[in-house]
Amino acid sequence: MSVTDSAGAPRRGKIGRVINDRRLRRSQHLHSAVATLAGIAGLLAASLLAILDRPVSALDLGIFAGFFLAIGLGVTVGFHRHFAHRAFQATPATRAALAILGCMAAQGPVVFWVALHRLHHEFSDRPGDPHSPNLAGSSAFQRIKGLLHAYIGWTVRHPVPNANYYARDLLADRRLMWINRRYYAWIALGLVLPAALSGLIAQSALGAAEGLVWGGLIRLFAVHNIIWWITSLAHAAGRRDYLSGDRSTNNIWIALPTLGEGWHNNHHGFPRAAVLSFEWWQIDISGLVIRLLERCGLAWDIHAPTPAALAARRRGEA
Amino acid sequence: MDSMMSERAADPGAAAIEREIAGWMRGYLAELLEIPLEEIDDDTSFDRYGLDSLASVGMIGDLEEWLGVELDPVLASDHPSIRALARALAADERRRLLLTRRLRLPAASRP
Ligand SMILES: [Zn+2]
Ligand SMILES: [Zn+2]
Repeated sequence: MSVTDSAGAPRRGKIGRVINDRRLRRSQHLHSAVATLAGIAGLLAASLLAILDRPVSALDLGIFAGFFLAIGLGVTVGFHRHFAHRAFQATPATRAALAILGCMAAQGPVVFWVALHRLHHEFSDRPGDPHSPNLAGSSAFQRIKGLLHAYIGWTVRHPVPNANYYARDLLADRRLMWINRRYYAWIALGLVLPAALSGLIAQSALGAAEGLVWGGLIRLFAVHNIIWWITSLAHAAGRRDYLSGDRSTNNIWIALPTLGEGWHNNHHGFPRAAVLSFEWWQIDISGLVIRLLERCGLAWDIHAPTPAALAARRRGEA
Repeated sequence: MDSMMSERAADPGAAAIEREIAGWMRGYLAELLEIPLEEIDDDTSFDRYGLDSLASVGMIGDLEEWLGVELDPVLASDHPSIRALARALAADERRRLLLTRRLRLPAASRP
């Protein structure tokens, strides 16, 4: 029981990879369910507003796009590439901004998100991976079951990662922990800001309600969904250009809406790469933003694989 | 609280449990903080060691795994030092029975 932890791997001394506590599991899974339901409620509210009041306005879509981009980048550039993979260095203010934006996505506080993601990389597509579509079996039915699990089922089934094991670097960062502790305040801010902005522009309470729905709830659902495409489809559908030891894929149709994270085979092949575009045509919006941060002097030490490293892991055309 | 303390003092089992748990916790903190075991002090608060609430939740989770009993994840904020936590765990009479059994297991099955 104590020789291996629930991720199935040998324990490292006294510190386990996951925390086997029913209450913690239940509260994290409840959190996922509430966030998902809030997003769906937003979609319903938007439909009602559109039917009862007026059609979706350009302001609604603009508020949605702006907050989707800012908060989505908080997750992809901040939580994923900077905090989980240390793919580049950034100024304290940039780190804080990325952490706060990422928290607004309501996918868990930054330390939790990073710990679970590092657990994913350690076991990618093997038993212990919190969200692999490839572990349910190979029949058509099992493939669908696996995809459903990796899309949304995992959000209410995943283990509780132990931050002492997976995220000690973040636990030691006092400023970041200050942000991490105020997680629910950032979620609230991510709902209040679009409501306030939209209300101010439209000069009406209805405008504020629409801002809450489009920039808050529907945006929340959309950012959840792009992450779910990565956890499921980006380990199932597309090309495998590099040896990565798992089933991760590259797929431009996933890469565009996921702000570049759909170059997921590139990512698992070279997890520390800050920019996931390895070919001129591989559009990576998050990578462009990292280059922009670098240009502004806010980011440096941008990790990139050398051409030799790329060539060495390149799979033969098959 | 006072009655619990005197009860504990009267029970040699409680003292043994307290000792075992404190020993495990010293080892845990030394491993986590990467400092020598001798530098771990039973009365220094977890806070002083730089453990914030999240790290102590992880620590309680690992303690839970080692003891094989369910613990409150936020136990360490109510009992914020090795001595306070070990004492609190040994103080509960019902849990003491479980712990006595658990800690007497042969060393090979411990992590
Ligand atoms: Zn990653
Ligand atoms: Zn992956």
